[in-house]
This record gives sequence, C-alpha cells and structure tokens, in this order.
Amino acid sequence: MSDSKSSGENPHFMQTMLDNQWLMLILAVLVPLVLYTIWGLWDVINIPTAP
Amino acid sequence: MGTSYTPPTNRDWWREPIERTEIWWIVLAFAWCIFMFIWMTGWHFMGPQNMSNETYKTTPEAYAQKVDAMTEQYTVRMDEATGEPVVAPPPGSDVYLAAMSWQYRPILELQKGQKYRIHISSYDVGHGFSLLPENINFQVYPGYEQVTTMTPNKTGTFAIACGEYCGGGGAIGHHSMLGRIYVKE
Repeated sequence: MSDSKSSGENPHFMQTMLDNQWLMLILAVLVPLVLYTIWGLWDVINIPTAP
Repeated sequence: MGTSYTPPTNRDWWREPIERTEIWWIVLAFAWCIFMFIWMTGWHFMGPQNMSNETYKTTPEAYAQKVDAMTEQYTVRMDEATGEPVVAPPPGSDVYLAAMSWQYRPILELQKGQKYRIHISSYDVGHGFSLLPENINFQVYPGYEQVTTMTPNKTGTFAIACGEYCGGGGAIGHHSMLGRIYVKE
C-alpha cells in the first residue's frame, strides 16, 4: 500500500467513479428507466393481436 | 473515519485496507445474490408458478365470441350446483375461459392426462386466476388473451379463485368469485 498511488493525488478509478455524485444520479435514473420501464413498454407494445 | 454526512477523513478511501471478515462478508453476500439471480431462471422453468404464457391483444367483444362459440359447441349439461353450462372440449383443443365480475365462465370438464390450451381473458377489470389447490396463480387482464398449456393429472373438482381484488360487496363480489373445473378419467 505504500506506493505513489496511495498519496491521494492519483485516486483509484473506482473511487473517481463512486465519488462522482452526478454520475451516480444519472445511473440511478437511467438504469431502472431503461431496464424496467422502457424494456417493459417495448414488451407490451410488441404483444401480437389474437388470431 | 468520518460520518454518514461528512466526507471520509481518508481521501484515498478506496485503498483503505478492509478487515478480512468484511471481505468474506462482501464475497459471500455477493455470491449469494448472483446464485439467486441465476436460480430465478431455474425456477421459471422448473417451478410450479411463473408460467410462460403466450399472450395476444384482443378485445372483450372478440374474446366473448370465442368463449360463446366454444360453449355452444361443447356444452354437455347444465351444472347441478350452479346452473351454469358445463363444457367438455376435446383433448388438445383450444379452451376459452372468461373472467368477469364476479365469476368464471364456462365450467370446464376436462380429461385426466390430456393436454389443453387454456385461453383466459377478462371481460371487465383485472382478475386473478388461481387454480386451487395447485400452486398456480396469475393475473388476468381485459384486452389481453393469455394461453397456458395444462395437462390435468388428478381427477376431481377444482376451484378457480380470484386473487386480484375486483370490487363488489355484500353478498357478491371478489370474495365469492369462484370458478370450477371438473377433471374426469
């Protein structure tokens, strides 16, 4: 752990991502919107008409 | 360490060493989440619920025509208990069941060991199809026709209960909404 990276000047990639509150907000909105709402609506729209 | 409403005092928190027990806890909890996620797919194919229904868009009027046509063609008698027509469709055929406030129509008489394509839809509001005492339960909607292939494996009289609250009160309503399926040899 005692290398130049632990100085705080070069944070880990994961820390940069998780510390970015705006990225977290966008993901929190987009991920359920796409996987749940949009995918669900697409499924319903594509239900065929009864023969 | 900081608190929940202040930033961590160690600015390089990602590289902060984690206790061995905490790592084990994270690994085990994550592995269990992944296992359950994959097993959801397993239960979908092997479990007694969550049936994959073919689904079609329809209208109550169009669906009622199919129900009435089948009822007219295959009625074998009037049910002694309810006075409703009892319909005995041929094995392997399409069987049309309607849910409405507050009954299921018609009463079906099926043969044990034979496969039937059971279609179900609602004429008015959302209802539930819960075949008792089997562990089968799904929602039934107006405007959607759902098809499930069923093979009765036991003889007897089976009730269909409505599992989605659909109104009513007093003597009649959701709480008294029952259908019937007779299974014969």
